[in-house]
Amino acid sequence: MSKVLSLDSTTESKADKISYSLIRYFTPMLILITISILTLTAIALLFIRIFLPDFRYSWLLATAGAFLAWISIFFWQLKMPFLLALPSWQPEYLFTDSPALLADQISWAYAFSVVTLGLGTLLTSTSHENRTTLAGTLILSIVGVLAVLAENPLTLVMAWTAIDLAELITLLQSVQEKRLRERVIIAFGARVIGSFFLIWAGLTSVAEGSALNFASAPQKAGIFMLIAAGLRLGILPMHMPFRAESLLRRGYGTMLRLTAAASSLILLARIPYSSLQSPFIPYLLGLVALTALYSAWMWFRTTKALDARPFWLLGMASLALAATLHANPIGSVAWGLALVLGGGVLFLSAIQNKMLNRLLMLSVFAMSTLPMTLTATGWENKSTQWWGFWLILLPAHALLLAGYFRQVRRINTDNLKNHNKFTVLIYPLGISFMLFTLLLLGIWGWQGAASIGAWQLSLISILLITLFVWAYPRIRSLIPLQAHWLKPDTKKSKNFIYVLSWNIYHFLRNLTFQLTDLLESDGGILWALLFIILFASLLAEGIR
Amino acid sequence: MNAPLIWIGIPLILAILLWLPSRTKVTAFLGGISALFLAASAWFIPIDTAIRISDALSLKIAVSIDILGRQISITPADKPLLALLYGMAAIWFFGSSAAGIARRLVPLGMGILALFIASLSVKPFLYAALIIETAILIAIPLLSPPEKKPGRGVIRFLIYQTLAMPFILFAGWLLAGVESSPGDIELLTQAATLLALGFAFLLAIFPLYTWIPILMEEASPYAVGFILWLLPSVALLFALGFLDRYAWLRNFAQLPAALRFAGLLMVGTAGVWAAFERHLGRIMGYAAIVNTGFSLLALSLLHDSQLSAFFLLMVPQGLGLAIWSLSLSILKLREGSLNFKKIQGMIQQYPIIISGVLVAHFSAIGLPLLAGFPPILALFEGLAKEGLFTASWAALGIVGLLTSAFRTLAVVVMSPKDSTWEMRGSWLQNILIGIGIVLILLLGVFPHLIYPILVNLPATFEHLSG
Repeated sequence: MSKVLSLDSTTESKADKISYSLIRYFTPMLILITISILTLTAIALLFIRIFLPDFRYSWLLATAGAFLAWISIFFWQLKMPFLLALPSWQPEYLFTDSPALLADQISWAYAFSVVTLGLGTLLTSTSHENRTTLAGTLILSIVGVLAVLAENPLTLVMAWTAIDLAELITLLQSVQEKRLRERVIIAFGARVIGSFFLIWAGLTSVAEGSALNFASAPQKAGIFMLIAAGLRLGILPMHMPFRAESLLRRGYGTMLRLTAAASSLILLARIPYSSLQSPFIPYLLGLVALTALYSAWMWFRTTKALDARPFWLLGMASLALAATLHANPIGSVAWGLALVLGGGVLFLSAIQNKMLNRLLMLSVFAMSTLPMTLTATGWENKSTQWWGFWLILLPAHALLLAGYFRQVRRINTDNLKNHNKFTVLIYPLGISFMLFTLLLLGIWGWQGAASIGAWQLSLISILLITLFVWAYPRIRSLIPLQAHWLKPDTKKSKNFIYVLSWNIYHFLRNLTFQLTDLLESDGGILWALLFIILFASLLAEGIR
Repeated sequence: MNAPLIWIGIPLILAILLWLPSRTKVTAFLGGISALFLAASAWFIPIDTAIRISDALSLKIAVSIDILGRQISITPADKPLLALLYGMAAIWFFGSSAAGIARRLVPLGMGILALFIASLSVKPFLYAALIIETAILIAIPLLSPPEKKPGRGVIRFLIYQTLAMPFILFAGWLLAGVESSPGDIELLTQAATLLALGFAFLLAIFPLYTWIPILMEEASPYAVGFILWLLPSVALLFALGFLDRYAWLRNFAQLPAALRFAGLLMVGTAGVWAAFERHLGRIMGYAAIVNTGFSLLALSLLHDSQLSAFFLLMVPQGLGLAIWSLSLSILKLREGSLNFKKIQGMIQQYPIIISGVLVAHFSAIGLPLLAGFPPILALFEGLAKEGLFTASWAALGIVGLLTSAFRTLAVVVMSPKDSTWEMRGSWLQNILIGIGIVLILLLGVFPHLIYPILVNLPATFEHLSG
């Protein structure tokens, strides 16, 4: 009997082993399935655009692809976390890391949001978008998913660069004015420098004797990772090099902006708090809190949501960064998801309808930080930072949501009744998908779901929101006469830092020109020989 | 049949024959195909091993040949290097027609390459210096057409490269003495100093690189690009030959520090100079200097990376320079100048060609997704292991080059408000640059694609490869 049992158990364990190895082998393929669906659809769309320009079902194809990808992401929940290692870079002893993708509770939530945003963009594009950007939307979804799934900084900087290049090309095509193009380059520059800071964080880890990975970043690397995310999001230092949001309207523009933000926000959730033990952290937190308050104030006073999109991004991203500095990575994810999905719902809403407007109120609820909502974990604090920062962060949140509330209730001339039956049917579906995701993530699917959170702080925030919404129509100074400050910022700011940097640049330029003239002139050879003799004498001394 | 005849003799004959075709496209095509064939044969045909052709017939390619009492030998270990050099040369030759310089570049380039390979294979080793000097003399008509008066850049190039020869020859003469009496510190000091000076001239180490930006202004960017790819590559391989041959030099305590210092000097100064430059050609020149600086830094990690970091840089740097100089040549041919003023807003007229300039520039900096990123990252990781100080100085050069990239980008996108998008440049030019951009992107994401080519390269230097 015992022999039979042991035989059975051996058979069982073998079967278990086989099924375990099958699962281990096939689970990472789930990522590939989602990426493949999106990629194949995008390729098909590009192919159709070139070879079958009269094809009438491009939108249907794009939407079907995005929907399938959306469904496929649910299957990741079957076996998380799992890692998809891409072919390793050779020789392995030179590269401490190779590209790899990780699906865990945090990255799943972001990936799900990015794909939902893509799907929402396509579904709402029936009303406002020209259909040439369908493939672009899918490509952005792919790059966005790759960025949020990045297992290590190497993968992340590669995805970041892909997004930066997509943004650069898109903006250069849509912007004509010289000054605005200069702003596009400055924005691109700031992001690229952000990427290089992340690479530098990796190098500081290597210098400490370990490879940079998100699980165990050394103390010196944390600050550089923070600067990288801050620079890319425009928080540290606060900058909005390109405010001409009106040039990148709904649809593709929203997708681009929010995907770029999501790809940077994921880093905030990955920075281990242990690596943020620096005496500068309280000052950084102060700076971040003030940025949040300023952008929330600007957002609150705006008349057109789309024009003030950078302030929404900046405000919510500042809250996410503040959560990271409060040792609350889950809270940071919550704010990030709210930025993407809440922003997506609002910025993609082009058409008015009573029912739709009421539905949109649900997103205010989802971002309210109340228990069981998406942002319930937003106010949690596991650090020993000074409590006074809440005095800035709470009003900032309240102003953002009060502004959001106002935007949702705005009166728009474009009514759903004026559109064809197809749009009447599909358009609300697009908005509903995003709202559904926003509410779903509050109760299911990731670490921050179904949380109670710091309900006392959320109650204060709700009170403040109510106060601001009540006060807005009653206090004249809150109502801007014109939104002139939102026009593209084309004037060069003549502040101290700008003048100082420009003077240093001129000084260095003149110095290099002088030296170049000296070395490239006819006497240059003699100067070079003199230098070489000096060099040789130093070298000989050094050897002795 | 022997190897030097195939990979040195035949190319030298081809260098003469390739003057014959009257059409530039034919010259470029024949040159490219020949170089490709030489690369493929170096990759596939075994040396010093009998190849069975039939039951009765077998063929063996001998390793060496004697000429005037000197020996030129190409061993099986040299095969990957030959394949790499001829493969890269094929890229340059195919592009030469689009750059409008095929009639000069293909025959002269083939000759220069053959001589450089001879310089790496000649025994006694010191004769290499003379062969390199011959190759440099052949490069003069490539850089300055006979009908044109030579400019300052060409003359300075000739002076500096020629000055390298006596230093290297003297050093070689002293090295023989060092071998016989290794304890003689005085002799060792003199030999090392002369050798360092010789290579400082040959590799155009600061401040001896002034000929590069001047030459980029006055000569065809494609011709200069070819020299800027080939000369430092061969000079560095020549330097590796010295290190491989002389144990005392290899184990010289100050060697990594000296290489690092020279590398940092080049990366730092050229990067900063590039930041303030307003001429696209001169910027490329400075980037080429930064490339050499990176190679020197990679060599300073010799004991850790066993030459892998150095060889990893070769393909992305060569490819980047080819695309960059081809794009600049086309712009110079069509617009007459490469000054910022002249090329302002040109992206809308030359979207692919300008993209070629930008992609190559960003690749030289090591922007993620581009070919230069993986090797530069590996290099910086190697430097960081030694300490962040060195990496910081190298980063300064990167910042300078990055600034010049942003400035270039800002200038080329400044089109007049109502200008439309066009596609200037011939189909061949746009297609070649388009293929180059795709290759740079491919190598940026999948750098392991070239690993099979690189894996056996260090074996060429048996004492250095560990």
